[in-house]
Amino acid sequence: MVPSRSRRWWAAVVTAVAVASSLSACSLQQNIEGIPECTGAEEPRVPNSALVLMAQSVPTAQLLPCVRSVPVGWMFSDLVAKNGSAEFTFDSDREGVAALIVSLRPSCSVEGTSQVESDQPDADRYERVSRVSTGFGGERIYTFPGGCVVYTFDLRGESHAEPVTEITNALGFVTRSDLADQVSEHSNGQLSLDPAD
Amino acid sequence: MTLTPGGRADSSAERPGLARSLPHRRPSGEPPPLPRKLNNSGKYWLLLALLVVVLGSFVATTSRTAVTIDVVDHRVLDLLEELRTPFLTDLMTAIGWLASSTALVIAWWISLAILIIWRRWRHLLVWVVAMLLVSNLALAGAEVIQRPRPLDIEIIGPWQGFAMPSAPMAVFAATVVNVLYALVPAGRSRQLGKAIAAVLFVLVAFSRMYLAQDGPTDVLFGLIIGVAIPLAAFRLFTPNDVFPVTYHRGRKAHLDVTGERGLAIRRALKDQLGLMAKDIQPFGLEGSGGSTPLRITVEGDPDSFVFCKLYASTHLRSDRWYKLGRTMLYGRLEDESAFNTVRRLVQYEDYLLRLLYEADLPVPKPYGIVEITPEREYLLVTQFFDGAKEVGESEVDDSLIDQGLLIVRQLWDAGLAHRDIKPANLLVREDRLLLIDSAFAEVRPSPWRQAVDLANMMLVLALRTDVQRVYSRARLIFTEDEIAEAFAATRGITMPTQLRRMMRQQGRRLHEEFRQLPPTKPKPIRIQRWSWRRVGLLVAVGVGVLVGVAIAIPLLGSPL
Repeated sequence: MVPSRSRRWWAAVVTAVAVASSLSACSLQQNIEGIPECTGAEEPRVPNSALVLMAQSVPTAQLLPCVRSVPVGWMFSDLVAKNGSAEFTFDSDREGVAALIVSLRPSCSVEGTSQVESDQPDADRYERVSRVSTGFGGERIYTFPGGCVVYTFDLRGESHAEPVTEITNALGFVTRSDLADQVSEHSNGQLSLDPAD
Repeated sequence: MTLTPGGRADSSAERPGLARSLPHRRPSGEPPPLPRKLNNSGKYWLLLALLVVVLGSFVATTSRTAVTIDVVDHRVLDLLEELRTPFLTDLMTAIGWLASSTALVIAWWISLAILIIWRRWRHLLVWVVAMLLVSNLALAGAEVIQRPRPLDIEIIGPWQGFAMPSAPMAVFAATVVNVLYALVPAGRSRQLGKAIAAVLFVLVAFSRMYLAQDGPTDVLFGLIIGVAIPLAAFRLFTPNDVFPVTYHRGRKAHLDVTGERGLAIRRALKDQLGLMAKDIQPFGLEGSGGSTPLRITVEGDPDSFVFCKLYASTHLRSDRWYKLGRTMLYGRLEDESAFNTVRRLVQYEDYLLRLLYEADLPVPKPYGIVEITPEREYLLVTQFFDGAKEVGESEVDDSLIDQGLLIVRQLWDAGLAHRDIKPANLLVREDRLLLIDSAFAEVRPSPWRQAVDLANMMLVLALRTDVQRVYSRARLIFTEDEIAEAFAATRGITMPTQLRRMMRQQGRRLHEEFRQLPPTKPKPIRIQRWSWRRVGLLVAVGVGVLVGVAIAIPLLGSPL
């Protein structure tokens, strides 16, 4: 029996969908959550897409927040990047939803904060505690040339501020220049992160 | 006194002289007379969309592909960057606003209002589903592919999230296609609309690339997804021939019988019944809410007419909603089971018409059913009563009164109920009363339902005469108790809308007058039927409405 034209057409569609699905399945093994990982140390140096997007959201920022690893009990939930700002969120099984929000902005107000010794080179660190009675609420602000990063804590567990160290140790910074080098290397020098002045 | 029963309507030598050719069996694999068509352009757009999915998967999985596309896109954007001037930037920003969240939500609200005012529910549903598919596919695709915004260039317009496919471009394109297929009538207007849409696509795409919000590939992918999905959805689920976009006032149940459907009806009549249709005209649309009635001129010697009722899935849904509404308002007064398919609905009406015909009632001769689109559209073909007038427009004498009352007696004797006795369904031709429309008829109805038929017939006859006269003629055929029971059983919903309206227009309380005449006046028969099923149904519908509102509120927001 000769298949009708429509049947052949649908067979082609089904085959294409199957191929596309299998390729999509491969892609799902990648960093599907869009985590801005602190890449760059290992070879080959492939720029992290989420990190590049964050860099594009605040083109002046010389430092970019990134994730070294996600601690047990914490989940990377969301990355929202747009022109002018970017932020990503962590949920915790003990501390609740949106227990930590990390924001990258062009500028931040440090009014009402206390400056403390910075654990990041080229960045000043400020702290503000807003709640310690139930869980822990507060902000940590890093300011640096061209931008700032705010960690907003809203911990609702019984451990008060204890998880702060655990989660902040999982975070780090990548310099813009390092990311720009990665983009350039990855494209064999054909592209750069930022336009030439 | 002798009463003259009506008898079969075609008992006189008035059977139409239909010329018939041999019916033709549709071979396996051959499309039905009116198939659903995606059209070639729809297929190409869908194939392009699949190509986008495949290419997108390559970009997501192979960095070489991603870099190659980045470099090519960059070259194009570099050229556009050289064109930047303050004036052009302002102009492109203004054009780019068309694909902004604000502009898209304004377009959505205006379209929503039009679709609601014109009660174009199916188009609205297809719009919402297509838009949800487009926006979610664009956003999910961007999350999977994770392509940053254009590199190595200053971005001078607003943006959000990953770039490929461009969600604003996809949603803008989907909105334009939705407008074209849900609001613009097919034909010249839509063709013109397509040209305008193409210009808009080019302008918005150029704007987004000029402002470096998206690369050319991002824009192209977004455009393809935004066009392909709504185009396929509207072509498959709201084909023009079945759900035309029109701005004429009129009942939504009536289908357009010109164009492809008209050709399909001609072809189907010839192939399936051997009838050569010369002309198809809508007939008596105002009296019909549940189907599209047609008068078809058939070749013969001389030419004659057949009467057809075109049924489609819209009518099936109308029947379902009507029965659901009745069950909620009154409980299961009688059989309120809805039909599952159009085929069964038409088969039922054809079967009932044949029963009425076999029972020697003055009904049109059934000629059979014609399939237009399998399981979707069917035509019921019967004899046409040429020159007949509605009883409401005719002089009603004792003979006609008797014929009407005898019709009810014959129905009772045959164990049938018509269930829709109203002026529009009683025709007069050459002093003979004819009964049409067996759509609501029932076999072995309840005694209550049979009593209602009698009361409705007496009310219709009294519209053109007087109560006392109809009552006195009825006493020759029915007992006082039967007449008293009929009016005890009949009120409100049990009277067809047209009958109630005509009584109101005449300012006559015929029903009350009839009730006063029999010496015994039984208590009105209760028509409210409460059951757990009805309570459950009311609760389920209430919950459904609340869930619907909860779902609808977020849909009112921007699709972007």
